[in-house]
Amino acid sequence: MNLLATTSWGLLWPAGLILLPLIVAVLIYAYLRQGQSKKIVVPTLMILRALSQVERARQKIRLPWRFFFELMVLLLLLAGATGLYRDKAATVMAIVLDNSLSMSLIDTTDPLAQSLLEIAKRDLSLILAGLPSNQELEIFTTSPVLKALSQEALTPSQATRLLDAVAVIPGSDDLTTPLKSLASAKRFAKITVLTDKFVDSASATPSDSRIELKVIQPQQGRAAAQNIAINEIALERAADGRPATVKVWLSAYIHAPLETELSLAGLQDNAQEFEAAAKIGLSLKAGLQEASFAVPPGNWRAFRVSLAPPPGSPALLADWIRLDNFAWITVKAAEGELILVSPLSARELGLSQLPQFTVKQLTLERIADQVDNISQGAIFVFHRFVPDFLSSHNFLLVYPQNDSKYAGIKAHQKAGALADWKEHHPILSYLNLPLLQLKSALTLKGEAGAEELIATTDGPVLLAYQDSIRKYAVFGFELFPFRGKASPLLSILTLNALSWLGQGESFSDYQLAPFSPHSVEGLSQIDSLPIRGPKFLGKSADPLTAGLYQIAPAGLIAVNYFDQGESNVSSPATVSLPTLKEADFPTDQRDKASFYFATLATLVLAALIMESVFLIFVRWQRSRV
Amino acid sequence: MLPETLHPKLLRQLELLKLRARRRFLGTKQGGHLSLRRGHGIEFSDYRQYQAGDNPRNIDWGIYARSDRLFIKRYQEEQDLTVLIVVDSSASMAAPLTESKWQYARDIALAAVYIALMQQDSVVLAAPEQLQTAKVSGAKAIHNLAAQLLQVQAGGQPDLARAVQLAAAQVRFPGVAIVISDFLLPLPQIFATFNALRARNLDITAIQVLSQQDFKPWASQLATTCVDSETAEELNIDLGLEGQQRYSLLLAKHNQNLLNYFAETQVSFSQITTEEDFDFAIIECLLESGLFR
Repeated sequence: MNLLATTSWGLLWPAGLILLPLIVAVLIYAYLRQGQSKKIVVPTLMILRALSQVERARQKIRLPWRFFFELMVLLLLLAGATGLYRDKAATVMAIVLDNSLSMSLIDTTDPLAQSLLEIAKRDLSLILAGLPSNQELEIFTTSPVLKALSQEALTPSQATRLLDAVAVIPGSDDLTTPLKSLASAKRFAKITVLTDKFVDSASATPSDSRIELKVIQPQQGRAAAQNIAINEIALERAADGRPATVKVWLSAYIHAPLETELSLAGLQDNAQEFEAAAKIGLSLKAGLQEASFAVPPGNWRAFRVSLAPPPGSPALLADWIRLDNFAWITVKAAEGELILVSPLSARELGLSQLPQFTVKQLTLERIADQVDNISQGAIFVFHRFVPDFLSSHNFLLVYPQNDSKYAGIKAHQKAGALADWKEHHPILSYLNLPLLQLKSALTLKGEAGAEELIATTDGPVLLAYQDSIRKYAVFGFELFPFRGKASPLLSILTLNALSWLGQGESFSDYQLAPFSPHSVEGLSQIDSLPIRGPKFLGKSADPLTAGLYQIAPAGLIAVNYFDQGESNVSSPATVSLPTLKEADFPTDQRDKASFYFATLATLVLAALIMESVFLIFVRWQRSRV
Repeated sequence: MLPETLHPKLLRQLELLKLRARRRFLGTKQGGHLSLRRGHGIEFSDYRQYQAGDNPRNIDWGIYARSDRLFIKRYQEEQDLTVLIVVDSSASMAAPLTESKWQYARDIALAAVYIALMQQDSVVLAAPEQLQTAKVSGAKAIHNLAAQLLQVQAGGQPDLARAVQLAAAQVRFPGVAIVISDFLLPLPQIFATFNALRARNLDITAIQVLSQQDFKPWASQLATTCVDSETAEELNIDLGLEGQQRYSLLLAKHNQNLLNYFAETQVSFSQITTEEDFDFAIIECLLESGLFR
């Protein structure tokens, strides 16, 4: 396929051309008036009269060169003002490579034993080989978020070389949202998608005709696919001094019962390597299952649970995705105290899922009387409540409802796009927030000196403040309930905020724990919708693999969340293709218009400077004569 | 009161000049000029035969000794002269304001008046339609004439020929006429002016006063509107280099026509421009005219 480039010129505001005859008329009039503007009293016109008659007889009407020069300058200005642009037809081809967890599926019955991603890369190489060498390409991966492999368009040969670096990255198994983003870009003439997902039969039609979906399937088909996976892991502490228990939730998408082994490995406090701690045999049946380990004595820092059929077991053939066979959890004594002030309980807000904190809840009334009993290192969490009294403790304030000098409410925004964020602040580290869509947020005005961390088009929705007395962070959108991996962006925001508000302790991990979403009236969700090139800012060697990572200096453990549904090999996710929607004012077109306006303005300025210099030189020459 | 331009040092220089008529005229009083009358003057003129009644003192005994014939010596009688000075006071003499030709012309006229009065000539001073003095003489008359002339303001569009004609009528006996103007008039008007003086058989001198603007009326603006100082007529001009050169040629041609006419009619001519130093230029101009020595 050869997408030939065509170019058409256009004007964004052609009505401005009506000024053209006016400009020419005004310029001519100005030049005619130029001679009349200066009057000189001369002794007599006797000789001049004779001269002008002769001159008129000899000459036609002659416009000086300056007239045409200034006419050109004015025409350039008019072209810029009317929005001259060059609309290059879409020629770029977008290739979307689904690199989600489900693409790591390896058909164990296939002698080649290639994962779906490797098959997709192989197919893509063939596609690229068939393209003209000058075809412009942009290649995207979808997991954990839509990401372009390069900043600029690639040739087919360049794209082929970049394919080797593409790997499976567990993340949200959402292909619909990235496709919707790409479809809104007018520059793409075609969008080719390689994925294991089928089109949702309920997709609205007609879909964007530029999108071509190539579904990669195991050789034996989906029906033959099998998988065993660890979904959740939790550390339950016993209050009566008994050993803690590591609980594991498993899912098995298998055709027949399967004998597997569940292994527990632990990381001692001063060790660098996990050491085997326990092992249990499991007989898995299709569906969900639980298992648990008693935590052995020791000074443990973290545990790793792994699920695998015994070596050499034929059950290995039943595990078509291996990445979901592991889970990690850290073990740390509660070292922080959260003082919750909220009409809701800690469990409802999900704070109980943070084992490193003990949560104490105060009643809404008479907080001042209770403050004396609270240690200085505790962090207040005000949720939907702003007291009229603040102690010197650090605090986290979420979704304020009342005016206060710490977080006055400016306006309630129903929905808004992220306008700005301060990447440098620890609360926002390891997050990339472009085009964060806020379904519900309150714009805030904070105390003088409060740093605006996240702002919508209406104003700040996250403030942070620090002085010699206290730190505080104020969220103008609902941060809770803490859902762990089910809501990664919120979870990391919460963890970052608590880490920053803590007393300098390196905040570590959180628990991969099951959490049933608790519906609380009024709580809103936040979706992140990046489009281009977001970076997952973990500094670990491989931050995008499920696990726990200590990342200096914030001490945050970056975790990767993969959709539990990706482990379900028998029923893969579907994708809804976007419909083609014409933008009223395409961004590309507007950008091109801006580009030409800037160019034309520069040309006009240069021309005016040249004319001024020339006129000064001419007058200087005449004065010398 | 004389203007400041006629300062004492310049006046002393002017006193050294003598107004010299190129022809001999018949005057009524003894003055400083040679008269056609023969009489008892100082300068020997010629001889005539002795007639009864002649003064024997005038017999040239030398000729008698050589020729045994009696001849009487004749002497030329020195007579006074009437000097008519006409200063063009039209509006063109006042344009441009920064280079007033009028002041130059006025001061030249006063210088000529001064010289004439100092050598006991009579003076008639005229500025068309604004000033017409009677014939005055005596050195003291300079102040009165200067005061009258200083009150004259150049302006309007007087009929120069008519004014000259009227002024010349005051000159009863033949004398000298000095016309000071820029002569930027149609040639027929100029001819009519000087013909009126020629009819009076006067020894005529023309002094042309020009300014820088007369040579380049467009100043720094090539495209401009020129307004006639006398008629207020407006003319838009847009002169390129060729036009400027053509203007200069036409002005030179006009002046050449003037010179040709003056040569034909034995009118003395000199020219002065306002950018010249007045003290130096006035002496040069008066000497160049041939009327002063």
